[in-house]
This record gives sequence, C-alpha cells and structure tokens, in this order.
Amino acid sequence: MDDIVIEGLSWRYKDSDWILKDINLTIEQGKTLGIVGPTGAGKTTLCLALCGLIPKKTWGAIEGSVKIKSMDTRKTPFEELIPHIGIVFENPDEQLIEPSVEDEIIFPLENFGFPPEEIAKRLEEALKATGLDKIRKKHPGELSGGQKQRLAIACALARQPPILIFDETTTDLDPVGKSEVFSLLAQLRATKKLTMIIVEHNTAQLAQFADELIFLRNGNIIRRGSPSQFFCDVAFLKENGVYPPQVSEVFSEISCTYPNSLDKNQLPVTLNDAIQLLHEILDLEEISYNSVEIKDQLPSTSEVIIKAQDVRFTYPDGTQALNGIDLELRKGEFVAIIGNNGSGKTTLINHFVGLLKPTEGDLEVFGMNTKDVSVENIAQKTALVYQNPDHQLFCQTVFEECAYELKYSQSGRFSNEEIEQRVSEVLDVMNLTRLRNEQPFGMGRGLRQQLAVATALVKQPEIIIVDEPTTGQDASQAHSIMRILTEFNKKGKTIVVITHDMNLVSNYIPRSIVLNQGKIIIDSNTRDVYSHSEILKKASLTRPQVTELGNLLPHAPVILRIEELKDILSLKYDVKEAIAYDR
Amino acid sequence: MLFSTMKDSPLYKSHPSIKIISIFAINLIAFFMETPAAMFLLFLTILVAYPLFRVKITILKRYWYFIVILVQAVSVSYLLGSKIPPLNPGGSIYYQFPWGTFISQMTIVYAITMIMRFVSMLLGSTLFISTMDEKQIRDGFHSLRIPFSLAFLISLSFRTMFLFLTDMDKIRNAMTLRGVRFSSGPLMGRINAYTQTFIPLMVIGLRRITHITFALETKGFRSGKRSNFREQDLKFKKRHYLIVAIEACLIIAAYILRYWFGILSFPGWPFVPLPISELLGLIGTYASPIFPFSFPFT
Repeated sequence: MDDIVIEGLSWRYKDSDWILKDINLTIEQGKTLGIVGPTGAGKTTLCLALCGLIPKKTWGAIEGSVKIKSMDTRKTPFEELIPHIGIVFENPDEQLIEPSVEDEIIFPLENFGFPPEEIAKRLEEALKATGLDKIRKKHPGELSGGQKQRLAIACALARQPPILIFDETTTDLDPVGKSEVFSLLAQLRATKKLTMIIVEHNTAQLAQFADELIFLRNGNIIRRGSPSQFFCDVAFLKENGVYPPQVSEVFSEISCTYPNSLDKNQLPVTLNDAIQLLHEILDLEEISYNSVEIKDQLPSTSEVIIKAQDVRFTYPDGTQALNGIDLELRKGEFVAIIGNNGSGKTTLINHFVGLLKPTEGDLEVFGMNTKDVSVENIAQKTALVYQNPDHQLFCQTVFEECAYELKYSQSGRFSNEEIEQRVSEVLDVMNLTRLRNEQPFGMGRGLRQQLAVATALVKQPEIIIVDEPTTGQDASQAHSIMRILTEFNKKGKTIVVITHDMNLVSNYIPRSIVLNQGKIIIDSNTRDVYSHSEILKKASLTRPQVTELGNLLPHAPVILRIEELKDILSLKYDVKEAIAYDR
Repeated sequence: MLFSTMKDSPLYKSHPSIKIISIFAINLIAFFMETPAAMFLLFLTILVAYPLFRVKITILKRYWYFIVILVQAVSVSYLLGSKIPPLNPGGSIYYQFPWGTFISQMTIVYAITMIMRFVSMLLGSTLFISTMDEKQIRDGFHSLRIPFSLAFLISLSFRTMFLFLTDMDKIRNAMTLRGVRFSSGPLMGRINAYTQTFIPLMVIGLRRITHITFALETKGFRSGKRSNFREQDLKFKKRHYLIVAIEACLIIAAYILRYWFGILSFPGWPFVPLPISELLGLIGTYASPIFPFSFPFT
C-alpha cells in the first residue's frame, strides 16, 4: 500500500514563480525516500506539501494532488492530516519552545488530546528511544546541537505517526552528531516500520539509509532510483550540484581506469561495501610508493599575524569557552578550525576580530593586543563572514552591499571609479554580476551566503575568517566558495575557516586545528591531523571515506583526496579481473 | 527566556498568577504616582526587594544598553516637552524653547520622577518575570482564564524576544566589523546605524515567525482537543486571595490619593479630580477600536 501519492503536483507561493512543477511520486508504506538536489530546487517546499502545510497553511497556488493515507491534502482539514505525519525541520531552535526536554515531548501529545496515562507511556518510550532519558529535566537551551535535534525527533516520534519527514536535520551537526541522528533513524526504521522521507545534502549518510532516492532540480524530479543506481552517474550528479559519496566517486574512477574490474552501474555507495569490494578486486601487496608523490604545503615561515598565549575566556553566565589556547597564525596560511559542537570555535574567531577579549591570557593581532585596541582598528585588516548571512546584510542592493565599506568606513580612500571596479570584479568572481541590482533578502540562502563572502573579499583584508561557509549550501556551491578562498589565499591572504565538512578540509585546507572543550588537542598539517583517528574521535569528527579506504592499503600515506587514492591504485596495485559485484 | 530563571528565589515556587497580578499592580501603582518622594520610595522598595527575594539585579546587565537609551529618551522628551512652572513665584526658568516649553527646576525634578517611574516599572516587572519560566508564564495566564492559545503566545513572546535580542547583538557586531559606527561619530550617523539594523532584524524575525508557526502547527497547536497532563495545582488558596486583596487595595488607594485628593500628583501640577467612571471612559475610548465590544462607560 502507498502511504503517499502525488499526482501532477505544481505549486507556487503568492507572487512567485512555480517552485514545484508536475511532480509525480508514490512512497510505499515502510519505505525510506531520500531527496537530494541543489539549493533552491524545491526540497523544503516538497516537504511542506508532503505534510499538508502546503496548501493548508501557506498562501499560493496549487495544481495536482497530494494524498496522504488516501486523504487529499486540498480537501481534508489539516487537523485530520497531521496526526499521520511528523516533520522535523532544519533548525531545532525554531522548534523547541518548552522549558525542559520532557515538557517539549509532552506538548504535542497534550495538543492532540492523548489521555494522561497514554502521555506518560509515550513520553518514556520517546525518551528511551532517543537516549534523552538522563537529561529529561534539562532546558533545551543547554543541550548540544545533536541533542537538540534528537529532542526534535523525539517530539515527532512520541505521537507515533506512520510517516516521518526530516528536512535537512543534520546541517548544523558535527560528524558524530550526524551519525547519531542517522543511527537513531536506522533503529526506528528497524523497530517501528515507519515511512520516512529525508532531505539531506550528506549523500554518504543517505546512501546507506534510503531505499530510494529522487533528484530534484528546479522543481522537477529528474532522476529516481535505488542508491546504487542513483550514484553511479557521478558526472551528472556533480554537474547538478550534488556530490555523491566519495566511495562511489572512487570506484567510478576505478571502473573507468579498469573497465573490466567492476560493473559501472553497481558502484558501492557505503563505506562497508566499498571496503568489501576493495578486498575483492585488489591484490594488496607490499609495494613502494616512490613514484607517487604526495606533496603537502610546507609550514609557513612568514610573519606571525595572530598570536594567542594561554587565552582563556569565560562567558558572563560562567561557561568557560576557551581553556588555554596557544597558537600562531602566519601570513598567507589557510587554516581550518574544526571540532565538535560547543568546542569553542566561534568563540575563538570572535577573539581574532576583537569582538571578545580574553578573560585571561593575551591575544595579539598584527602586533596589537586585542585588549588595548578597538574592534574598529582590528576590522580594518580583518573580515568575518558569519554562519548566517542574514546577520550581516543590510543594504538595498547587492552592489551597495559590496560597496558599503569602501564608501563609508574607509571614506576618502577610494574614488567612485575604483569602488565600481573593485565591486564589479568581486561580483564577477562570485558569479553575482547578474544580480547586482537585486535586493539581497529576496535571494536564496546560498546566494546570500555568496554575497556575504563577496562583502568580505571586496575590502581585500589581510585575514578572512569564514564561519561554516557550507551551511545551507549544496556541494557545488560549497566547493565553489572554497575555490574562491583558495585563490584569495594564493594572493598572500590568510584564510581561517570553521567547518564540520571534513571532505572540504581535506580537499582545500593544508592546516587543521582541532578544538575540544575549549582547548587545542592537535594543530598540524591536515594529513597529520587525519592520521590521528582517535584524537578526531574525541572531537566528534570522522575522517572522509577516501581516507578510511586509503587506510586499508598497507604502507600507504594518509589519503586526503580522491585523486591521491586514484593515483596510488592506478600505479601500484594489480587489479583482479572483472568481478560482478552482487548486492 | 529573557533572563536565566532564578530558581533559588523564594518567588520561584509561588503561584504564577499572583506574580502576573503583582506585575500589573506595581505598574499601575507606579503609573498613578507622580510625587517625587513617593516615587522614590517605591523605587527604593523595589530595589530592596531584589536581594530580599534573592534575585540578582545583574540579570539586567545584558540589557543595560537599551535601558540607558530608553532612560535618555524619557528624560529628553520630558525636558523638551514640559511646561511646569517653578513652585515659588520668581523661581528660575533655566531655558525657554521656541515652541513654548521650558526647562525649570520643576521640569528637571519631573523628568527625574518619570525616569524613576519607568525604572520602577521595569525593575518591578523584571523581579517577577525572572522567577518564572515559559511554562509558569503560560500556566499563570491560563489560570486567570486567558485562553490557552493566547497564554501560550504570550509566553512564546518572551522566548522570541530573547532570540530577537540575540540576533540584534549579532547584527550589531557584524555591522561593526563592516565599519558601521554605533558608539562614535555624529548623532545622526549613529541613529542611522541603528535604523539599518532593522532591515536584517525584520527579515530574520519574519522568517523565524514562519518557522515557529510551522513547528506549532505540526505539533497540533490548534487541533482543538487539548488534554492537560501537566496541570499543576494552580487553585487559588486563601493566602493568594489575601495577596490579591492587598494589591487591589494598594491600587485603589493610589488611584484615590492621586485623582480624588491630589496627594500623589506632581507638586505644582494643576490637579483635576478624575472619577473612576471618567477614567474607564478614557480607557474605553482608546481601547474600543481594538476590542470588538464597546465599553459601557464610553
């Protein structure tokens, strides 16, 4: 039986273009559907349509139909639809409204009129299922990102709806947090036989979890299939802004190099499958690696521009965010600051730009002790791009946004012609020229993030600090921003990036600093950092799939990029004859 | 929430409806008072109540900047717009504005009195709000017969105000890093800077409201068949009625002293008795466009 049937669905918001166009989709009971697509494809809109918020609670125009358990969402009152569906949105802070974990779970149960005995029973079940029973009295504001998201899931779960929808629920989580959420979903699927719809940019997690995937682009479903079918066309996916799991990409490369080695249409999509296949198709012999040069960028010897000496910081509420930070950043370095949620990353970069001053210890930026100078002085040579671009955009047009600092804060330094030239160059680099007269807040989240980066680049600061540049971005946009930052770094500028995306760190960033509980637990080149898997685990970080695969190769260096693995496999290993890989 | 909930305070466990009624009582009494001495007494009483009830006044530290701005606005408006003559004939008028108002000794005292009134209302409300979490606020209003959905939205507004202020901090910081000057430069420039924060604030606020609305809808907020698992024992006991009676007497006393006898009026300010029917009529005149029913006294 089909839980959800969509026929010819098209939707547009009031005064907008069509967001969803002629969607036809059926989702069987008990199955898990994954939805991928570039930013702005209509994924969230589709989720709203699947739970009945569209058209019941949103203004717009609808064509076609959505039937949930045979109930047409256009004709059935929303109050009759919603008991069958639970939905978890991206930002848990906008879903958690009660003063304690258990109150949060009780709230929807009360709203739906469950009797007290039933509420008590379901509360205990939901707490146990999500591992929150020991922190039931805690305020949601005190929880970590992963815990908050588990709580949001618990709220949806407590009602035991047959259909659950998850809209990018792991975006802000560290890698271990993401794994925890997916482990929970796997457990639920096994025990409760729920129908699940998951929107996710993290294809690696989705690949091992979904029964079926659809690719949404410009409001249309342009591809559909099982994970192994879906991820076999790596080139198509990457062209359309979706990066497949690294293992699929690796084996796609192997299948091109060794056409007889495996079936191109049945690439492994999970790490475990890839490991198994690697053992099957390779003779792992001991071979030297002389001809495979893996070059890492040498440590910089240029002048120190940021120096932290035993920096400690305690927030007014008593939270000790930094516990003795010692580090030096040099001119021209490209550095990643990584760590679990709540490890102190954002607090540290706020110190770099002078927004926060150490409660103990000293921090010098360009030789200036941050305790002795104003934020404005430091801001002349630094730029910070916030995680949420909406916090830093305030002008009427894209052009004005980029030109603001050049015109006003450094007034007199630039002529109008110079401003026009600088801004036009940066808009061109960021691919925003066509939007120069647009209102920033009318653009999509991905474009606003790009604009925020552009406002930092245009003033050509000595240091650019970017906080989570990939949040809300599809893979293609994320890589595009990283390439632009790399180009900027090659011009001698220092770049500092906070991110959870370990793939991006391994591909673009030569130096990594790992924070845990306000301390630096390792500070080295990225390859060295990735060789310490136990330290990464302590910081709730996981290595990219390609690194884990490379780890299987005896005497191989730590692999960071797909190209490195490909080089090693192409040159050094004998591949067995074609083995049809049966799943 | 706007503040960390002061769970150590003895007020924390008291009936939330009483706390809500007390907030209204303090604000009404402060509103009725205009005598500098009485206002000062009220202000001192509230200040003393903080350590007495083990509530830290430093919880307002975060909002100090806004409080200072509001105090400045109150003082400037009363200094620029008052016409209170000196108490004694021949007393000094320090400065006369072209539009007819002037600054005299009495207008300065009046402005200070109004500042004390404003701060008393703020501190009095904060004293009680800081000892309530969202659930208590909601339960408090609900047990005063306010519909659950309205009581819930009132409690939610406190949480969203906190998020609003957090966003305001982030936006100010981001704009400071982009060269916007909030605390230096010409006054008009600084006002313009604050005006510019409204754009991102409104956009973020509207988006948040939409997301919260969706979350509430999908949690069955208006499903109409609500059960009550967490109902606390919120029945009024004798002592609660006694407290409400005392507060009602204080409000009535303040009203009578101010509007019937002129005792709490500002010295030298012309006193016009205001019977309660006229007061209610005034309220009705201003409130009737908002409420669907008409007040009987208009």
